[in-house]
Formats: sequence, C-alpha cells, structure tokens
Amino acid sequence: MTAPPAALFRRWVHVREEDAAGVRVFRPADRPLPPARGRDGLEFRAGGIFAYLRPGPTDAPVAVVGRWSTPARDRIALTYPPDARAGDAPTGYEIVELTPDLLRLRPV
Amino acid sequence: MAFTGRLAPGAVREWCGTMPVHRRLLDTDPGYARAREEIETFTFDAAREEPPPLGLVTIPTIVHVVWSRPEQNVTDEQVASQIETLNRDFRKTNEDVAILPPVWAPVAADADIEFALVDVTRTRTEVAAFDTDDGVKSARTGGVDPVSTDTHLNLWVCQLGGGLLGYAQFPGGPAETDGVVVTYTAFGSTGTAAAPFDLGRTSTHEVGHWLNLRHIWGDDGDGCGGSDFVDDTPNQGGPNYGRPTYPKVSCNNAPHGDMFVNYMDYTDDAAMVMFTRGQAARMAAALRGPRSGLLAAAATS
Ligand SMILES: [Zn+2]
Repeated sequence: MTAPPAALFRRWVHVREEDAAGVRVFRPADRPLPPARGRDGLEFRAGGIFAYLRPGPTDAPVAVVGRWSTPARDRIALTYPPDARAGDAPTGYEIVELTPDLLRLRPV
Repeated sequence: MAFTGRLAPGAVREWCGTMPVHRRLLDTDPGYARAREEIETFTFDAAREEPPPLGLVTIPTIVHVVWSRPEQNVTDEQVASQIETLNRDFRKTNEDVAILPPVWAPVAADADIEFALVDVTRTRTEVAAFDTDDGVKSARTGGVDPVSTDTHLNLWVCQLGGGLLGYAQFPGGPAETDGVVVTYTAFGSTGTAAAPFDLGRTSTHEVGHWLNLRHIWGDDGDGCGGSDFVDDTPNQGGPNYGRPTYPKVSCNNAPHGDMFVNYMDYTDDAAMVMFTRGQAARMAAALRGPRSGLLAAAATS
C-alpha cells in the first residue's frame, strides 16, 4: 500500500470531451468548467472514502459512496456498497497524470 | 426505476451536501416519498382513463436573476427569448421540429402549455457559483425566495458550479424550493447564451422535470431496465450527448433506435426538438394532480 498524492483529495469533474486514447480527463470542480448536459465526477477523501457522482433524475448529481485503496503505485482500486455500482462504473484506475489542475485516469 | 444514490452506512450526514434534491428528500422526508408514490399512482390512472384534454394551460412564470458579476445580470431581452422558446417548444411551433426523423413525426406532441412572464426579480449576491443544495432559492443563502409556488413557475438564473447547466424539482417536493434553476450561459437564446446550449432547451428540459417528466433513458446508468413511465418513447440505454445521427441503436431498439431528438435526452440544444404524446399526457396528469393549483389559478385569472 502506498499513499496517493495529496492533490488527489478533492472533487473532480469528468470533462469527457478531453478524453483520449482510453484516458479520462478530470478537472477540479471548484474551477470554471465548460458547461455540459450531464457530467459525472469523482471525489476522493483521505481515509479511504470516495464518491462517484453522476446526474440524478432531476439533473443534480447523485453520489454513490464507496472505499478506495491503492494496491500498487499509481493504482486506485474502488469498492462500492452492495448493489450500488452502476453497470459502467470502473472498479479501478491507473493514475496517468495528477497535478493541482488536472487528473488523468485510465480505467483498469 | 433504479436510483443510484445509495449510501454507505454512516455516510449520509457527511455527504448530504452532494445529494440531489430528489434523493435527499426521499432519504430524509418520508412525506416526500409518499407524495411521489401517490403522484405516480395518480399519473398511471390518468393515463389509463384518457381524460378529455385540458385545453390550453398558461403558466404564470417568475424569473429570478441572481448575479455577482454584471454579465450574469441577464437582460429583459434575454429573459423574453427564453419565454418565447418555452412557448414554441411546449406548443410544437419550434421550426426545427423539421429535423425529426419521419418515423417520430406522428408522436411529436403539442403539449398545449404556454408560459406568461409575470415578473423578473434581480438580486445581487456574494456567491460566486451556486451548488445544487438549493442555495439560490433562499435569501438566507445568497439567493432569493420563490413566490407563490402553487400557482407559479419559479425559474432561477444564476452561475451554477461544476459545469452544470440546470436542475429541477419534481412535483411533490417542498414549496420553499419548488421550481427550476438554469445557469446563465444556457438561458434563453441571446446575450450570454453560449453554444451548444444557446437555444433555451435547458429550461425546456428542466420544466419537463418540473411537470413530472423523467429522463428518456430511464435513469439507470447505461442499462436497459429503467423506464421513463411513458409508452411512446423507445427503451434506451444511457443518455445521448452532442448531435447524434439517426439511427442510434441501443437496448434492442432497432431499426429506429434511441429518440435522441427528445427534450428529455442529454443532446445539444440544436438536436432536441420534441416531446411525445405520452409525455404530454404525463404533464397533463401533473396539471390535474400535484400541480392543479396552476389550473385553478388559470381558471380564475
Ligand atoms: Zn434532466
């Protein structure tokens, strides 16, 4: 187990129009973002908690809260509460790039 | 209908701020869950009974402009452009209905609903960007309180955070937060409205929710098990984005595929051009039932 970089611990919004070559691009939620009809997102908190955010039935984000762990360097494994994982939600990511302004994740 | 908002034990309090209004209310207010159930039963019965048409219903509308930077203080002209778009879209007088694939022309509906602007309020705020915690709907949190929600549509325009275009509240929720919220760059069709959300369709979509419409894909992620409780919209996997080309097939819905031209999908403003007859009937049921105050107001005005 290795601790992920502290920069990971914030809310990130998926800017899918920047995705390329199987890598998902996330930007900090508290910065100006290009509006889009329906963005998903991720929030990581120290202590092993994460939330997967996706548009709910009236468009405000819905949070599924689970636990993260780091099985290897630059790897994040995600576990969801029973029956709470949407069919297309990844169970793990490789951290391709992490800066204060940018998070690039490849689903694994 | 599968909700994705399940929470780990002990996490509810910590994550309340991120919860959508609908889910938060279901979790914390048993009366809301009961109200939603009763509304669905009423709506189902209304659809089966096929009651006579209501005729034209005009909804008095109040627009609340809440701004911190001058450009967010959208002009009366921009407000007027939004009301015009709502009136075209809910009456099927939008010219771009011409882009419909012919197979769906027969189910495209005039919902027989219009909107009359009765007031515009303007509030300066210290809040740089509002979240979906309904802060914009209360003076206490830097926004402005709604007015007469039983007889009026309240529509807030502000800067929303996180790249969000807008959000709504279904019928059956608390009066003090009833209405829809739209970010100022996706409001109306002039001024600050920016492509590809510059034709006023965000408000059309949100007012659809406010009149009890669900997302056309059934709110079950990309699965095929969700429903929008409307019979004349095809079963569809997940949301569509951008400007798809016909046919876009999912969930064994060939040959015609997803109805991505529907206002309740997630496509660009220029790609969404219709409600169906089934959706119009569902909105009419909302007007007969949980939003009947609007009918009473229209009858006495
Ligand atoms: Zn929606």
